[in-house]
Amino acid sequence: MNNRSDSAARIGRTTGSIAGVGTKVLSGGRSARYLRSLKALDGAGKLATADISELVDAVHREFADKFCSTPVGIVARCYLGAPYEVHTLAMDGSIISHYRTGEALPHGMDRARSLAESDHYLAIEVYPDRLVCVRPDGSIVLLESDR
Amino acid sequence: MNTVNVPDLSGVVRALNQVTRNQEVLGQQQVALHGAVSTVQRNQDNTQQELLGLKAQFVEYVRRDELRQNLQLAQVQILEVRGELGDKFGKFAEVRELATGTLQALDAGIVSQGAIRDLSEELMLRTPGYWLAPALIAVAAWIRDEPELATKAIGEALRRDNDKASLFFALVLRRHQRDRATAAWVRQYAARQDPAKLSPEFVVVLDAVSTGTFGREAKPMLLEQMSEWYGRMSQDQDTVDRQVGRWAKMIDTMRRPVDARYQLLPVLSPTWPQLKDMFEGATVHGATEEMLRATFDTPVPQSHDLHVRVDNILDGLVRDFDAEEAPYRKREAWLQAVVNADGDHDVAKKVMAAEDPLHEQTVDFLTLLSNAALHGDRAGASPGTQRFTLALARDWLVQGAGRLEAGNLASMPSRVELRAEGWTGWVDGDTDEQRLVGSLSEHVDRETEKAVSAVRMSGAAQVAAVFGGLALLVALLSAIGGASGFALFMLVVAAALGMWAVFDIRALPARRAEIRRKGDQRRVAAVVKLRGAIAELVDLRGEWQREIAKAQSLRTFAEGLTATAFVATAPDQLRGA
Repeated sequence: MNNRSDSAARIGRTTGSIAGVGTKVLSGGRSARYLRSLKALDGAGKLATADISELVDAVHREFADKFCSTPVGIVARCYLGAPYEVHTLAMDGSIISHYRTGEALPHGMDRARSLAESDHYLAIEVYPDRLVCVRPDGSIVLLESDR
Repeated sequence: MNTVNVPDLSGVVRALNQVTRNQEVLGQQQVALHGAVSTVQRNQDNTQQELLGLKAQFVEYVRRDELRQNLQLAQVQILEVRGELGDKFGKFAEVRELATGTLQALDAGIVSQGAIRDLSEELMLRTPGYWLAPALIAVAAWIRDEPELATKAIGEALRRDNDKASLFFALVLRRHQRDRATAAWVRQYAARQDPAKLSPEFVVVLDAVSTGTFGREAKPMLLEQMSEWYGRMSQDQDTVDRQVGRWAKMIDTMRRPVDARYQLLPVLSPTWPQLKDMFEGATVHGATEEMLRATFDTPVPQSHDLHVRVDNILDGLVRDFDAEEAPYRKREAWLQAVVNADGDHDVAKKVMAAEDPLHEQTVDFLTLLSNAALHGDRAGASPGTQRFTLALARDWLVQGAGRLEAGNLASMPSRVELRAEGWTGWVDGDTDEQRLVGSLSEHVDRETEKAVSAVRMSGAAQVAAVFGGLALLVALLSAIGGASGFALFMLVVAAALGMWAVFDIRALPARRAEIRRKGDQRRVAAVVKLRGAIAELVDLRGEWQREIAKAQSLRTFAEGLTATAFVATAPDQLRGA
């Protein structure tokens, strides 16, 4: 539940290497395994470290299996309740952080916040140049490229 | 001394009584005056309201007048453009009519071959450079069995416009069920095409495929080629993005305006423009689904006669796609958009921007599909083709609608501001109406109290009271000092000043009561407005939720469309095809 400000710096470094290269976003629906993992992440505070890394692995595999870019981070609505509003999974360090209302998200993930708060989407994948909204049924919406 | 002073004092008392009476009269006049001032104030408020209303009406009038003028101008200009089209390309029209006319006449066998030859040769002379004239000569020569002339004419037609002439010959041959020859023409046509730079007449091919007009050899070949193009071009994220962007733009033009019953919220809330935009943006999903259902539910008129089907497509080929006419057609489309929008240039510009690729000389295959699906008739596609391409383009439609939905959800303001009587409040997730109302009431009451406490003795009256006191003191001192005349004078002065002050003080409660009464009125009116605005906000939110929920239903419907279900079978292949 702690906010890791140092994770911001690490995300910054990794995105540096991805940005500039055209992102190949995984199109098509997301798998049931991936969706299950995303849902489970919210309660990660109660899980053992090994379980968490298994969940994060499943998220990584979703993209690696299809040779597509892995998102910089994933933002989702936090069901822990007030004062927490959203949580993020930074894909480089596999760190889960929970954020309070009004607290800024690091490194470009803030633009996904208002979408993540809507219950229309299970999670928002953040890529260097675009956002992808994942619906609870696994279908996705690729938002316009920022470039 | 004393005997002298008595009559003097009675004079002073009389004078004082006189002054008292005068003061009373003055006091009454002052209250009356205050009433009159209040009335003037009320009148001024009313006048200001009326002026504001008048201004709004005037602005509305000017706007309507501008729209009317735009509309009239567009209606006149559209006739001019059509006239020019007729003047410049009227000769082409004759050749076009001759095209299907010739074929049908040959079917019926009631026109002599000589007549057809003469007419087609004459038109060849009269329309230099037009591809259709030599094509018709070739058909006439072929019917008369003059292979040499036919070959020459075919060569000339192909030289003038290879693509259109190829399609023309393919269709004419198909009309006579020469399927193998049709397939040969179609094959060499298709092989020449670059899916990144198709000319708009490729819609004819889509039309021929979706109506099942091409024969048993050409149709599968084209379907295969198109699906290869589709697969290849869909790999390119940028091309797909452009299609999705176009669909999003098109879907966004289907906004429905917010209901006119929302009256208080627009006045009270500075957040209203955002709310309005959000609501209208949410209405596009329902509208799009209605449009799709209407397209798919109406029966497609489909003739069982192969000749009729081919003739329809031939008609389209020779009529719709001549590059020279394109600038005029674009101008015509713009004017038509202005007429459709009742003279509103902004709306017309939006519509034209959404259909921009419709007027381009060459388009990529995916854009061509979008054109046919979005604009049907105006892209030269028949209703059947529109369904076929809509089903092919469904993923872009779904993604485009998804983008609009996401944008709409993200545009939700975190809180809604309400303003009334100099008070500002915010409605967010956990606002209690009662608390807002209480806050507004307190605000108005506070202001009223402030105004009430500002009502006190006027400055002049205060000065009068002080000087009255001083005069009294001087009078006493003078009396003690023996200067009785001066003492008397000062006494009179003191009395006059004192009375002035007293009357000023006596008028205060009436003024305060008036201010309180007005304050109560203001509070009641403001609370009524606030409650109304909150009720409207709740209604709007409910309506918005219903509208945005339709996005799911649109998605389900669109995803259920499959392209191959909309490819008809040729009439001559219905059995065992």
